[in-house]
Amino acid sequence: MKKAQTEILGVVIIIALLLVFGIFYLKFSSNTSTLIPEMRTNIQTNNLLQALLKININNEPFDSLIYKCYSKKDCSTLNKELPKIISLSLNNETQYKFTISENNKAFFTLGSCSSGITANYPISKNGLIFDTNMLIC
Amino acid sequence: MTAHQSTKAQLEMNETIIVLFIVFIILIISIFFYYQYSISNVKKTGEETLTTSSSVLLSSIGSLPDISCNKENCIDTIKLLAFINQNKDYPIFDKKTITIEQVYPQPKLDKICTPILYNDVNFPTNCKKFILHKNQGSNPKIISTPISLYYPQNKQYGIGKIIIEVY
Repeated sequence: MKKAQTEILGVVIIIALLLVFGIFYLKFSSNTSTLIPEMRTNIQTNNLLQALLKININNEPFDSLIYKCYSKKDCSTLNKELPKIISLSLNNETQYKFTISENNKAFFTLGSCSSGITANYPISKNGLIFDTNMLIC
Repeated sequence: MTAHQSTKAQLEMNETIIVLFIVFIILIISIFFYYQYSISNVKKTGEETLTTSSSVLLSSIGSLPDISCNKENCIDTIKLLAFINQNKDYPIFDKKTITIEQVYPQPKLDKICTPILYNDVNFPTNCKKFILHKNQGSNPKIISTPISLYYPQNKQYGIGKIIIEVY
């Protein structure tokens, strides 16, 4: 085979290989966006917190249970019922942290989660403002 | 032209043909791989679009005027039953099964809620699910979110879960 033909063939092969590798690189280098999953977690966190604050547990309104936990240090109903309610509302493997504070001091905490999507909602009861915070990992 | 020159010319022509043939094969292989890449890209874009629209539906379904409470972020259970009975359909429900499951108070029976069960004294613990829209299919992708449920008959709230299965 003539030298020129061989060299042209070599160049063509190199270009074709580069094209193929380039296509595979483009295919596997694309990053998956986390925007949609974060938006869903945001919705879950907000909805769960707002839903919790409206319910009655053992015929007691939630804000009364919070006040009872703060003033009489009786958090037994919250400790017993809330974990069940929250785990039923979320997927089993979802980790969360629910905190109630008064004047920036947390007096009730449930769950363990260090970072994630958070929702806050204040509640007023008997002249006091309680901050409720739900964090979903 | 001598016989030798003729043979040489033929050989060189054959070499050229072989070279062109190999180049042609490489081109076809490259086009084939590019086509595969384009097809998978289009499928991925389609899946992302479906996921996005499902997430948008998840965030907005609790605000549908047909089923939502008037001033709060919750679903009115009587409006929900009425909506289900009317068999209304929205285009955004397409290719999805949408269920609203009662979580608290925890239901004792795993039944679909109907107007008869709704009017029973044991409601809401006598049934578990409201099926807003049903679609047949396999291997669904499931997304869900908690939602507040309002029971107008006793003016109380519960917790439910909106579950969307996307096919």
